[in-house]
Amino acid sequence: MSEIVLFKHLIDPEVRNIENYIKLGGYEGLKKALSMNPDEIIEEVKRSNLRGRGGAGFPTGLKWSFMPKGEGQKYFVCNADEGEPGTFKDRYIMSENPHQLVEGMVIGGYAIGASVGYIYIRGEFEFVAKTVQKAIDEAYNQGFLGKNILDSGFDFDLYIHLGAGAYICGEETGLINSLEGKTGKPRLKPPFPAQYGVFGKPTTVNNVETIACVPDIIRRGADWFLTIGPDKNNGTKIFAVSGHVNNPGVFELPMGTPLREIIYEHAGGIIGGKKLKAVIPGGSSAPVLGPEHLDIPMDFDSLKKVGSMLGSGAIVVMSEDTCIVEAFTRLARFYAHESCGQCTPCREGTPWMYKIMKRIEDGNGKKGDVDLLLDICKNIMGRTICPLGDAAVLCIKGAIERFRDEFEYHIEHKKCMVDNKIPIF
Amino acid sequence: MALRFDENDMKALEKIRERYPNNTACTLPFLHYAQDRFGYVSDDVIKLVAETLNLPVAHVLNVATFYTMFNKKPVGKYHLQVCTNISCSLLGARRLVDKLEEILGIKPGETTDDGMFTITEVECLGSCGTAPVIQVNETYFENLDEKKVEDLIESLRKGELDV
Amino acid sequence: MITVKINDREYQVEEGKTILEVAKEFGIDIPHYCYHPALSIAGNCRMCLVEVKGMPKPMTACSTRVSDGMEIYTDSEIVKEARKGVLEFILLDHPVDCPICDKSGECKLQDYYFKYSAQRSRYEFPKERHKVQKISKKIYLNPNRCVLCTRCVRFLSEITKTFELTTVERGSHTYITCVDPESLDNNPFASNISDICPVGALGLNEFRFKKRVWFTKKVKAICQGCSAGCNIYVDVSNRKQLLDGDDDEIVRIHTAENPKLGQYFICDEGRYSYKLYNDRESRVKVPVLEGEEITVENAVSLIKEKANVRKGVVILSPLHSIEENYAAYLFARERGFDVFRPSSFRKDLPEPALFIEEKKSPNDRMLKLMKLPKVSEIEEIDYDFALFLHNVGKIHSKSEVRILSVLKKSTFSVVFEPVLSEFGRNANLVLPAPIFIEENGCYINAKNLVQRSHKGVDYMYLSKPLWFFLDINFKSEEELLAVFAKEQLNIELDYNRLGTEGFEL
Repeated sequence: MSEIVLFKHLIDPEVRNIENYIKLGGYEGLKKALSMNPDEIIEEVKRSNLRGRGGAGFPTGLKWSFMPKGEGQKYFVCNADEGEPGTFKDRYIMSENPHQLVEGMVIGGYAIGASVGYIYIRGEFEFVAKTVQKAIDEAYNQGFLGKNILDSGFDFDLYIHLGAGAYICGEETGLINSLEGKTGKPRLKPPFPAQYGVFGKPTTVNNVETIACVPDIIRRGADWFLTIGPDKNNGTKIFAVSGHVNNPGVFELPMGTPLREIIYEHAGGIIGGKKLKAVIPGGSSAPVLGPEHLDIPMDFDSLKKVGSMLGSGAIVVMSEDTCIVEAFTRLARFYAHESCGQCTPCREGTPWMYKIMKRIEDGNGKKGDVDLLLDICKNIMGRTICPLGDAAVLCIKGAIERFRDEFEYHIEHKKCMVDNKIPIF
Repeated sequence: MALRFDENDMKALEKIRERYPNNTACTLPFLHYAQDRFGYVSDDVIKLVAETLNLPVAHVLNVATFYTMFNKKPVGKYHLQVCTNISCSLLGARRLVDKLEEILGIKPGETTDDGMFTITEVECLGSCGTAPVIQVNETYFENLDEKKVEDLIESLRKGELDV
Repeated sequence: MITVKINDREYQVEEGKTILEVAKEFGIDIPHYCYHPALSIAGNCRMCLVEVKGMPKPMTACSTRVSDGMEIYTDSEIVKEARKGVLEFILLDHPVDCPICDKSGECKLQDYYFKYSAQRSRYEFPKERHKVQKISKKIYLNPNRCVLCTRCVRFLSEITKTFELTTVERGSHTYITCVDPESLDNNPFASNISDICPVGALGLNEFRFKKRVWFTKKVKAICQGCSAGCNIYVDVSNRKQLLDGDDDEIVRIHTAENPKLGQYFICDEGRYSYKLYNDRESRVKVPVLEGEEITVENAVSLIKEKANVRKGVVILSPLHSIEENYAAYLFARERGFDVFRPSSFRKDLPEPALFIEEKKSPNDRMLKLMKLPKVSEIEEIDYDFALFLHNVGKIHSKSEVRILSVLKKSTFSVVFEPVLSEFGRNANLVLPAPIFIEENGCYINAKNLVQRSHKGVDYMYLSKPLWFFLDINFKSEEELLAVFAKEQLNIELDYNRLGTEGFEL
C-alpha cells in the first residue's frame, strides 16, 4: 500500500470526527506550525515542492511568499469549486476527511498572515458543505479555530461560502468576485490576488487538495514529502478516474504513477475488455491522449512534455465505442455554457465552435469545418481575460489534432464511424 | 402582496451577514436563502434581497441571472437535475433523460402539470466516479440506470424520499 | 519619465500610464470599444490587443501599464491578426443593419471593420434576437447591436451611481437590460449612454431615424447652458433631404470631450437645449427701429448718431462671448459711458450635480474678472443712450427688472439679441444678434478656463456680430479676444493658444 496523506478515511472510516482525526496525528501539524514563525512554514512548504493541485501546478510555497508581510487584513481562500468535467476528488477530501482541510486552512492562514479564511464550495455540494461545517464547528470547540488558537496569540476565523452554479468561479479571480457577492467574471491581472484580492485585500487562493497536503508536510517534514513522487512533482495525487472503466473512483497514489497502472490496476481496466481509444488525463481542459501514452508517468512535467497537462488529475477514459466527435461536441457545449460572457473571443467563439461541432456530429458538417474550427481556436487562444477560452481551445484542438480523421469522416459520410456507441445527444 | 422576510428570516440572515465585511458579499447566500424560502428567485425576490441588503436591484439581478442554481422560474417540487457532461454521458446519461421524458411526458426545461417534477440538464456535478448522476433538489442519486430512474420517480411520487 | 518604444520609435512617457493612453498622446491609434477615459478599465472587448516584446501573448493596451524599456508594436502581424479575429467574433451575432441604424457613419464597429477586417463573416447560424425597447422617455436600447462593452453600465454605476442598467444572463446569452426606466427618465445625465455607446445599441428616441450623420456638420462649441463650459458638438444639417427641416437646422447636441476640464459627458439639459436655437420664427431677423425694419447701414449710422451723447450706459451679458461683450465695452469706454453687468440666472443643482454649475450662463466669469459693477448699483436710470446685450437664456430676475427700467427710461435704447424678448420689446432699436454657432466666441467657465466655441454656420438673416453694428474697426473676433486678454488679464491670447482644450487662467 502506498503512502496515505489525504485519504485517511481509508485508515479510519470515521476520521471525519475530530477525535478520530486527532488519533491519526491530526492537528499535530498545526501545533508544530504555531511554534514556528510564518516564514519558516512558507520555507518548509517551498522545500516540499508542493504544487497546486487545482490544475496549474504552481509552486504553493512560492505563491504564499507573494503575500505582503506585516499588518493589515489578509485572506486565505480555499477553492472548493470543483467543476472541471471529470473531477470529483476534493469532494471526497471534504466529505471523508474534512479536518485535513480545516487544519491546512489554519496553518496556511497563519503562514500568510490571514485572520479570516473562506472555503468556496460549489453550490451543488451543499451536502458536502454540511460535513465541512461540522468539522469547522468541532475545530472551534477544540480551540483550533477562533481567537488565540492554542494560546499562540493567532486568531483565525473560517467560513464556508457556497457558489451557485458557475464553472468560471473555479478561476481564482472569478472565485474572488463571486465571494465578494458579484458575478464570477474573472479580473484583469495585474493586480494579482496577493496584492488586491478578496475585498481589495491581499489574498491567497489554493485548491482543497493542495491545502490538505499542508498539515502532513508540516507534521512529518518536507523531507518526508520529497520521498514521494518524482523530483519537482512530489507528494501523492488523487486521481479521479471516470468513464469506461470497471472500477471508477478516486485513488490517492504517488505523483508519477503510470497512467496504465491507474487505469488498468486501480480502476479495473476498460468495461467489457474493450480497447482504449482516448483518455483525458487532467480534466476536460487537458488535451486528450491516446493508447500510446499509457506508460506516461502522471505528473505535471511528464504530461507537459507530451503536450497535455496533469490539470486536476481527473482521468476520463473512453473506449473504442466512443464517438470522439460526439464526446467533444458535448464538451464544447460545456465551455459555451460556462463562458462568463465578459470578453469577446470566449463569449462568441465558444458557442460558435459548439455549433460547428454539433453540425458535424449531426451529419451536416461542411468541407472546411475542421479548418474553420482550428482557425477559431487560434483566434481565442491567448486573447482572453482568463484561461477558460484557452481551456476550451486545448480541449477541442486536442481532439481535432489527435482524431482529425474521425471529424473528416463525419463530414464526408454524414455519419459516425463508431457502431454501438452510447448516444450522448 | 409584496414579499418580506419575517423575524426568523432576519435572524438567520443577520448571522450570515456576520461572516462578511460588507453587504455585497451577502448577495449569494441571501439569494440561496430566499430561494429556499420562496421557492424560486422571482423579480420580487430580487427586489427583496436588494432592499434587505441596501444594494441596487441591478446588482442583485445581475448576480441572480448569472448563476444557474438560482431558478428564475418556478420549478417542480422535485427538481431533477441530470448531469449530461462527459463522464455521465459516456455511461448513458442521455438514456436517463430519455427515460425521464418518457415517464413524465416533459422535456428538459419543463415542469409537469401537477407541479411535481422539473427536468433540467446540468453540467458536471462532480460525481463522475459514480456516474451517471441526478441531483434531486439538494440530494445526489448516483450510479443510476434506467431501471433505477423509474424506481426513483416512483419513490418520489410516493413521498418516500427526503430530498 | 521612462522610455518606451512604440513601433520601433522611442518615446519619453510618464510612468504609470497605460499603453493606450501613451499611444493616444502621440497620435497612435489603437482601436477599442470598452475603454473610456472616464470609466474603470474593463478590458473586455479585446480590440486593443498589442504586441509587447517578451510577452507570450498579445496584451490589452487599455490595461497594461508601460514600463521602462518596453517595446510595443501596434501594427504587427500578430496584432493585425488579433484585431481581425476579435472583429469577426464581435460581429458574429450583430445584425449588420447599418442602413437603418442611426449610429451608422460614426460607428466604431463600422469604422474598424473597414479598417482592420473587411472579411466576410464565416458564421452561418441563426442570430440571437431581442426586442428593441424604449428604456426611457429619452433612450432606446437595441440589444442586438450591443457588443457588451459595458460602458453604459459602468457610466450609470460609477458616474451617476444610479444603476439603471445591468447585464443579465451569461456567456453569449448576456444582454443589457434596464431595471428602472423611471430613474433613467429622471436621471439628468442619462442620455450620455447614447454618446458613449460605441455602436448603435443605445440611442436617443429623438434622434432615431432623424438624420444620417454624414448629412450633418459637427460644430465644436461650448454649451451655453451654464458656467461649466462643457465642450459639445452641435450637429447641423448640411444637406436638405426630403421631409427634413431647414438647412443649418441643429439636429442634436452631443459630447465633445475636454480632458483638461476632466469633462467627458454633458447634462441632458444642455443636450436638449438645441431646440431653443431652432426657433426661427422668433429670431430677430433684421434691425428693427420702433417696430419698423431698417437696413443694417441705417442701424449703424443711427447708433453712431444716438450714442453721441454724454450720459450713456452699456450693460454686458454673461450669456454672450468675450468678443461680443468686449466690443460693447470698448464702445462704452471710448465714449466714457458707464458699464454694468447683470447677475446670472441661478438654478438649484440636481443631486448629484456632477459638473453642472448653478449659474446658468456660459460667461459669468468674464464679467466678474473685469470687476464690473452690478446693474443693481445703477443709480440714475434715465440715460441718454443705453445698450444691452441679451441672448437665448435668462438672467437673474432682479437684474431683469432693473435693466428693463433702464431701457424704458433712457432716451434711446438698443438691445442686441438673437430672439425677441421683453428687452427688445422695450427698446427703441433691436439689433439681430447671431446665435452661438454662427460666430467664433470665447467663454471663461467657472473654473477660469478660457475656451473657444467655433463658428459653424453663416450668420442667419441679417444678424451680425456687435462690433460690426458698433462700427468698431476690427478684422475678426480673434482680435477682440486678444485685446481683451491684453487689457484685462495682461496676457497674450489668441485662438491658437487656446488650442482644443482651452487656456487656464
